[in-house]
Amino acid sequence: MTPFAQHKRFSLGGGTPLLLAGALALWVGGRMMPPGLPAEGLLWVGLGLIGLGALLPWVQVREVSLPWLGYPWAGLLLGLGAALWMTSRFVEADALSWGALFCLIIGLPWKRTEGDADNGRAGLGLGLSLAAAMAGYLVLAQLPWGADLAHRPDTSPSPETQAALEQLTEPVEAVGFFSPVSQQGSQAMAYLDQAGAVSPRLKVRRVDAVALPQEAQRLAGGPLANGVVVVAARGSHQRLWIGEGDQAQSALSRMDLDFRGALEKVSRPRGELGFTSGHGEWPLRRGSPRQPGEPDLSQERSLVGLEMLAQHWNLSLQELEPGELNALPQKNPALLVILDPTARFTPGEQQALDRYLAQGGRVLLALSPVTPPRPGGMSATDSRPGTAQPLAGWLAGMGLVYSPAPLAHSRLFAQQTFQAADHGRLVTVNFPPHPAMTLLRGDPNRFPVVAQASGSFHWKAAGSSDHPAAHIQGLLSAMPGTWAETAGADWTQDPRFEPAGDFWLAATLAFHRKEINPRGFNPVEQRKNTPSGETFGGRLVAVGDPHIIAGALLENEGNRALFTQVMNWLLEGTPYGRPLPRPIPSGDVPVIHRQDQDWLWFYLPVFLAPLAWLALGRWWNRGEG
Amino acid sequence: MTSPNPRPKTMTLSPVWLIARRELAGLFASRAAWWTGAAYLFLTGLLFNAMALGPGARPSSVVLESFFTLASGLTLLAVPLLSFRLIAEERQTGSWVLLETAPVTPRQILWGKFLSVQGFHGLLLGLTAYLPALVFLHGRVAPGHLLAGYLGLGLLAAALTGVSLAASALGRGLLTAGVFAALGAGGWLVLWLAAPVSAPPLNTALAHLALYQQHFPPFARGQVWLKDLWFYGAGAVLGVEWAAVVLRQQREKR
Repeated sequence: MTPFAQHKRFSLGGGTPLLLAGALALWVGGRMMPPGLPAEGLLWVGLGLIGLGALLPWVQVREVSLPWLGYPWAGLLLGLGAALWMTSRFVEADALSWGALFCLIIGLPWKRTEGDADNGRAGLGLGLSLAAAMAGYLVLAQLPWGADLAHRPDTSPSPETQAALEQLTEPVEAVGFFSPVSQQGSQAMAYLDQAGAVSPRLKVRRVDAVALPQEAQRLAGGPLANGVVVVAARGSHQRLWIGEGDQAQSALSRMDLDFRGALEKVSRPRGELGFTSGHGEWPLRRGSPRQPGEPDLSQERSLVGLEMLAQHWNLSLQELEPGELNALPQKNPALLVILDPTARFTPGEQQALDRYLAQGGRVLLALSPVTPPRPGGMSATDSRPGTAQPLAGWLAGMGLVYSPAPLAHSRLFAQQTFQAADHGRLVTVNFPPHPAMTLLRGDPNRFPVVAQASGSFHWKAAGSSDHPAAHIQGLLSAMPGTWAETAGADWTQDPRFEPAGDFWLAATLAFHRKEINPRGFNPVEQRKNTPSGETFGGRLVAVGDPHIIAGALLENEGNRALFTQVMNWLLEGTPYGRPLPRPIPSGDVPVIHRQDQDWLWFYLPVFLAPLAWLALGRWWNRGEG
Repeated sequence: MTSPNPRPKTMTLSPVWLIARRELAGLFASRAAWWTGAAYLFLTGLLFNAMALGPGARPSSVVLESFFTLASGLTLLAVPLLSFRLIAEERQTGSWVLLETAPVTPRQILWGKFLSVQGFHGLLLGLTAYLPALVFLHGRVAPGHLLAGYLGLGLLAAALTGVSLAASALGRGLLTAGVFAALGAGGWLVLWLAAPVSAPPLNTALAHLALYQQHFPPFARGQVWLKDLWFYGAGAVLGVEWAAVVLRQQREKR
């Protein structure tokens, strides 16, 4: 019987628990103690425990053994300690604890039987192997030896980039700052030279930032290191970080996308989404602190998502003061947004809107439903009490009538509060044939649009419009079976007064220039023609619930897709009409699976493949019961 | 003390293959392998649909990266479950004596068992290959991306098998082996949590030592780095060698 077995009770760890406690105390004391507690003291306690733990094995020389894990455990601790010790570079208290552990373990007296000596050597060997493995890793981690197998370096401009280059109307500079011997610089410049060959407006140069620092100052407004491409035009610039080492591989592999994005940003004018204010609209920025009892709508009405989406068109959000409506042609926002007004617009302001539209302006108008008087006092939290909706009259004058009664559906709605009012949170995949809805109509079930509480639109009878030239179309319809809560918002259908019908949740108005010009307005020149020669007039999109195109619901894929399509349609024919390229890696394409391919994408992997595997197993083990 | 059975000092390949084949044959004769495979395929298919493809039209490379990330989660679960019982179960059923008295070294036994788990896991991975193939056909991805992703999954499985085999050798029964495997694999996995609460440069060391965070995502993105190959390879070898030393020590004690 070995001494280990005889003295098992007394040799539990041979000081190892003390050692580990000491190391832990050092680590905790040094790193995790909250401020104010005696961390320094704990460090010294840890060191003391380590010392005691190291001493104990020597006192119990014959009895010492590590617990049931045996010497391999010691070996592993040894290796880990050594690896951490090396990594810590001898400087921290943590390193001290691991160093102490390392010294202790190699100092452990091995028992003198032949087998134990072998085991000791094996454990030591394992520990040293671990240390060597970690040291090897440490060296390899410093070396850029690897390959990106997912992408290939972009050696020539893609068709999309070539199209962007061909549409340049002003000179653009692309300057590569690379040292003369940089191989990566040569690859980047080869790409830029090909881009320069596509458009004479793109001037490409290679500059050594060390030799000509003033060039960096001129283009980028500050010093630059080598390994950067600067794309500059219209007084603005974009930097592409390429690098000059092996790390440049990754940047070169996506250079086409990055370059195209930079090109679009510097060559396209920055525009603004002009938000009207002063009529109770959603605030562009957080306003005064909320009063007690006032609901917190900051999240629900957050415009952060809308702001991020607008960046795809190089547009930023700008609030227009109430008096600035009259100066619309001068302010000339890319798009005017009227988001849920609750106060009336003055006749002067309505005329200003008329003029703006007549001059080819683009307007996105979102109205809220108005709660009709209802029995029982049941709360409908998402629609506003009242009887009228500002701008509804102005809209009706153009042939589009807004019915402010909130819509509801008995089955198709978004369950949120488990109250009856949830019936007003409509979900729809009913997309009328409209040029803006091609994408959503292609795969409607992929893009369900959600409303919080919506009114509806319908077309005013022909001949009764002040603007007979307006072409009105439904953009988004409620699902069949929807009714309007005209007889009181109790969220249950009264078939006598609330028949189900086909309701538009959003509609568009389009004016043609030839039909507007006779009114005597001067068109804004930059909106007059598109590159294809097609003429465009003013456009307006009216939405029956602001949450459909703004706020928290914009996180829904369907609402986001709708917003994107609405923006594309509204901005068509303007300098902002084409969205900037999305961050899809160059050479990549989106994976689109349609509903009719569900058997391939869903049923095959989820059900058929596991069943086939089980059937194979049954066949394999046939005859074995 | 000398060993009662003299064993060959050098490791020859054929016993390793024999043990691997025996293990695989045993696996396929049991229902567990088939049900494990079916569950693996079902979960992979479900996660691929729900999370990798997502609701919108995502770029092919993003779908593929998500697929490999999700598959790595299943690997993290499946491989320790397959591996921890390899020795502990033999001990429990009494068949370990047969292996131990056979003219093979502990190292050969362990590498044979290691290869059997790699073979079975590789087969499961192979069965999921039609999912990235769908992306390959309906989108546009580089074949190298597929190769890198599967290489990463195989290496992750190898490292997990190593540590689970060591746990299996340390445990006296299935339960303790399972607990050790969970502690070993889980502890290695969550080592990165200690990094943010440590001071430099120890935090960097801990982050690098963690099983997943710094090492697998590059594979999922289609990037193969030598340091990650080394890390997982060394983890697998050290795990198996640790188990070999443990087995040897246990045999000497008897």
